[in-house]
Amino acid sequence: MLRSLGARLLRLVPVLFLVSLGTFFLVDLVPGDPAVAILGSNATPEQYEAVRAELGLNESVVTRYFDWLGDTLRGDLGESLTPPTQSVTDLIQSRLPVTIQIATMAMLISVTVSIVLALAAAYRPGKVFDRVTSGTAFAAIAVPQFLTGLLLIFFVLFHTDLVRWFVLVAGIAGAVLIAVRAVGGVTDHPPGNERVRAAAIRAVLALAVVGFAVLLFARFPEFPRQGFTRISEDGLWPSLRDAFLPALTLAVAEIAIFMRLLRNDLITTLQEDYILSARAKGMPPWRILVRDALRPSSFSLITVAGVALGRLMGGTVIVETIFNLPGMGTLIVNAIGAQDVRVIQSSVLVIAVFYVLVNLLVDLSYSQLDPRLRRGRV
Amino acid sequence: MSDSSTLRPTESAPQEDGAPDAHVAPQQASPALLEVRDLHTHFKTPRGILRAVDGVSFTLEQGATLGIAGESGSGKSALVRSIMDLTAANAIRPTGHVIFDGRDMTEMPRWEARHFWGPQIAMVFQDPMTSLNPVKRVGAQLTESMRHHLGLSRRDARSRAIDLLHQVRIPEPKRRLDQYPHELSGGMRQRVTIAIALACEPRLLIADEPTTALDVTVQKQILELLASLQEAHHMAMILITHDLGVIAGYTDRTAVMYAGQVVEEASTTTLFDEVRHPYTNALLASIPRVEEASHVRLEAISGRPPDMTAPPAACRFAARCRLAQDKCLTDAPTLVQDGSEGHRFRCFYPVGTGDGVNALKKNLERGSSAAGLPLKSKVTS
Repeated sequence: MLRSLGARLLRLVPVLFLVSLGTFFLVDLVPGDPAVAILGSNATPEQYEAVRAELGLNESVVTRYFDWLGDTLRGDLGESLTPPTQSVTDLIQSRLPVTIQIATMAMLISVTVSIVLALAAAYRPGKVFDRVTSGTAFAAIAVPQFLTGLLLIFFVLFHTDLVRWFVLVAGIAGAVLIAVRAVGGVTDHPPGNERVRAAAIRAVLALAVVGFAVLLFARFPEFPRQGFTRISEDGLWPSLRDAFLPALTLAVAEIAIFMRLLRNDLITTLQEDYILSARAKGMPPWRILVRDALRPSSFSLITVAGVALGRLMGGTVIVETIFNLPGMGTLIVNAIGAQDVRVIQSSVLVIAVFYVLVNLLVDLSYSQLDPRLRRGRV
Repeated sequence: MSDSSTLRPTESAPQEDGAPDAHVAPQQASPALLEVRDLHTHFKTPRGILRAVDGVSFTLEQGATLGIAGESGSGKSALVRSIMDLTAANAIRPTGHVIFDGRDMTEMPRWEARHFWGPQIAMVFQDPMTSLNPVKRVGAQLTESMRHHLGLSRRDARSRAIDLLHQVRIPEPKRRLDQYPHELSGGMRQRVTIAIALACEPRLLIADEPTTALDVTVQKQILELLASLQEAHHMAMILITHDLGVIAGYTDRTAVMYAGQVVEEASTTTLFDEVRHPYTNALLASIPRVEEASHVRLEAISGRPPDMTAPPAACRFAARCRLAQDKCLTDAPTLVQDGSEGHRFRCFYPVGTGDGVNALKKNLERGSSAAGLPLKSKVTS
């Protein structure tokens, strides 16, 4: 395990080298003279020359690259080229945690919710729950992100009571449904040990659902219309609360995609012979679904979730704009508008490194999920 | 070999009761362990309803071995899978009765029937490459049913698992528990699936072509293993195979299936000595013989089995039968009992009887069967 991790990390070195080359030459790919971009078109030739010297544009390409690489590795990304001049490292350091937190939260929400929904849908494919979730999923994929965000703001912030009552009613309805099935399960059949246990589990589940709904009803969190509290400022809870709506906005579409994907893979896995042997062992269907089918079915989910996480790390301009968040997306868009090549270059580098690391994680999780891949040397 | 008898405290109770069996099988002197009565398993397919199992009945005594033979698609696997309620999603819930130890399984709710799968009836599947979960350790797959059904602790289940791997003659059983299926050879994996099937000491073991996917040299070992385990654990067994050689060596009774029906059933010795059904006869004739010169053309059964979405209303084998007469094309033969004990077959002109001999003679004279199957003059039966 450790050896393969080391090997994989070693393999990242050439990738990261290529990434650094790519981002470095980004500067040279930008049309026009960086000095003109910085000073505007009304400066004197001497001023232009001074800026070029300061940027090191007169040096050879190789020297420039290694100087830049050295600085970058020390964590010094230089100064932004357009006013207000500030350290790019500081700039990214203030933006990146926001993006990371929201992206991670969105991923956690979407992966958990989609796994639960997919399991429930695959439990009885083609039945009511499966059809309803599939239909809702297609609708959710079709709704553009800005609309999701605005709808969430509209209901959660401006019609909070409506949402609170909805949560309460939905919670109680869900609990009643669970309880009715539990009672039905006991009275329909002669009492058996397993039935009683199942009923007890359902009762606890129903209580938990009601409890959660009541708690949410009584102490509905006050979500902010915009802005963001950092974990370092007020602690974990306010930060999680503030990031919840943006993360949920991002998660909605992902949930729909992940759920469809996992549901289909689960149904394919359920055709496998080893599911048949688990059934022949007399294992209950839920247990088979969770313990036998889920793991072998999660490969596409992990792959797509990895790509999605990488994408979210690049920042999400729409959500950041709607919720007025200081994230990477708006930083990059503004830098592009101002033609600040250095900020773009550094942001792209940081995002690319994240992409590579996320991919590494995905790779590692493959071999964690499937022992057959562990010894294979690709 | 183990202290297995202590693991099943409830096991002997239902047997001693005896009484509940009386109303189910009054005609039987000794209560059968398994009685299948008029079982139909149909599947919904795009071409229509496929009648994979079409009215099968048989009984199996305690500790006995029943062989089920037949070509691919004859309904052997569908039959045992419907006994264990393992049919695919497009199956229509089977009709008929599966009575195990006096309890009608078809009238039981699923959750209750699940308590039978493992501790009472267990199954070994055809392909050990696909019937073990590739991402779970052998130990987890072996112990989960013991923990679920018998309520063993993790440690007890593990030590019993080691003992089971011993019984199926796997070397270094302790190490195997932490291995994954892909780290074992094919024969080893089939031994593991057998150990899994034995885990809860079932009274009936169903082996669905357990050796088909294995190397020839391993086949015999696995069959010998099954036979010895069956004896050691006093299990009944249903052995499904398309290899009549396996049937001859390892079973007490044999049922031959064709097109979803049993066409002939008898004790194994009787079946091989007094073949009655032309299909059984043709199956026997198609076995290559060592004593024959090499490069002798094998006796193949020409034609293909009928389309089971629309099986013929008459004899289902008639189109491929050398003995077929006009009657075979219009009437469906029923399973009739012959003189010798429990020998049943589904044929108007059974092989080895006067009717059969005359039918073949008649067909040979006109050069074809009533169904138009051309016959060469070489006499085989």
